[in-house]
Amino acid sequence: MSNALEVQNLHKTYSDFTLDSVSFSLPAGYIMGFVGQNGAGKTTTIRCILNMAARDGGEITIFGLDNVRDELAVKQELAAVFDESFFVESWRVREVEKIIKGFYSKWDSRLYGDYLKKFELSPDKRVKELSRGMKLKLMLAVAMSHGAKLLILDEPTSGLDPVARDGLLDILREYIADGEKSVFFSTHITSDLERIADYITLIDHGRIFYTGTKDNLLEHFRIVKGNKTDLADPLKRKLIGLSVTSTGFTGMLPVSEMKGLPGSIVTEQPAIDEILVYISKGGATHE
Amino acid sequence: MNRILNAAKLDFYAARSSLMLSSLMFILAIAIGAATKQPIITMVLVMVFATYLGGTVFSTHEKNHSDKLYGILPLKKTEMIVGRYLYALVISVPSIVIAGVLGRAISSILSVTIDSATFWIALSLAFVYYCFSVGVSYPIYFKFSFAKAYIFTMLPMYLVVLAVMLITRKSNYLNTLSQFINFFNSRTYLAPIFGILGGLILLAVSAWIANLIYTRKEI
Repeated sequence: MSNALEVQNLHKTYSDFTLDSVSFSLPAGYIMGFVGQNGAGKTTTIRCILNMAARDGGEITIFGLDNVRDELAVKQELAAVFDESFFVESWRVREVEKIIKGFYSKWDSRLYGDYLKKFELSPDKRVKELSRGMKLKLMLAVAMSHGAKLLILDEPTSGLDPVARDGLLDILREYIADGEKSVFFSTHITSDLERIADYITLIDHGRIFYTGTKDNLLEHFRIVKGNKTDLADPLKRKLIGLSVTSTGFTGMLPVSEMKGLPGSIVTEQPAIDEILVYISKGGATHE
Repeated sequence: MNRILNAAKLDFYAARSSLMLSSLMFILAIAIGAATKQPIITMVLVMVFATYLGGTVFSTHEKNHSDKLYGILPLKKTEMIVGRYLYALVISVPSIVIAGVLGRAISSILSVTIDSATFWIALSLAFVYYCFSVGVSYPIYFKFSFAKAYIFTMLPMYLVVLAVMLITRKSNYLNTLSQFINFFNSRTYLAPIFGILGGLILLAVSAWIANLIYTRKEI
């Protein structure tokens, strides 16, 4: 199985933040959710992938090509959609094609027209007249009209209503249907990922906490709850995001660490957002 | 080359709405030139206002988050910069033609005589001024952004214009430039050649500096 995107030991240091040995890979034909709380390093990672920020170390390959050395070839094969439109507000939807198509060798005007119809985007409307959801669809129409095989989305659903979010997920499902295209989807709205992602990469404070299949992630951890008397020191050290109250404790534990737990402790399978909450409180790397 | 042309085209479309406003600025240039009975002032002002139009493309891109668009387009930073200077050069062409036409029209309507050498020298200097202004401001915009740097980059230009207007009002600047004009009097064709060459050299040096700045900058 070839990888659409491969990030190896990515390092990027700012004065107040560091991406530390970020590694993950997205196999071609799948959707990967890239999850983390605000400021965890999602956007910095994406900026490094797009070569908008220079990496300090590591390697990023897209369909086997280096994202810096082979930047022009790589960018013919990828598209990106952000949480805000990057088209000039005074442009008409029709003009967007006229301005952008010259940059892409595989631009398909017929396909662009088809997407405009499908997304109910009027060619005569100006970008500023479009709703947030429609601007997102315009970015998607452009992204999908030049044969991009990797679609990178940076928080695309933030600010969208549930109907628009649902519509986006349908578009993404259709996009990868041919088995050749892949989606790398950064978000902190984890319910979207529960529905659509095949793989999940969890990032916390600039470090990868988990990367692998979604199913494996959900099987990999358990929320544990118990009385304070059950909270022995060895267990305390293993727990991720431990929270102690006057009546008891709660935390998250890798399944591999659950042997020998007292019978009085209750365990539950966590949802992705619960995992996110627990790791944000403190934890170790689990790949 | 194709990518540079596409980058220049993108800039043109981005700044198009500002270009529409240029006619209003040209009316102001006509009014000031007519009021002072100095067609040359109109010619210079047209190019001063053209520098503003050359700069607004940065403002438009910043307002519309175009950094993200440039981040995904298959376009090298150097090509984007050359495209931006090409755009500046392209909008200077109609501006310089308009400056020349308005200068001739005002001199004709107000019966103010401008000899051929003066006309071409003024037009050439106006073009050099445009290139100088673009050449100073573009690297600063690439470094700091239009919103932060606009006042600081335009202030020296306004001072130059003010100084020129004061000089032309208080003394006969044609006399002070007589030697200069005399040289070109019998060689009128040299003025536009020197103007174009000088302007292009300024832009080339500026583009080189902008490239040094921007290729090291994270977008």
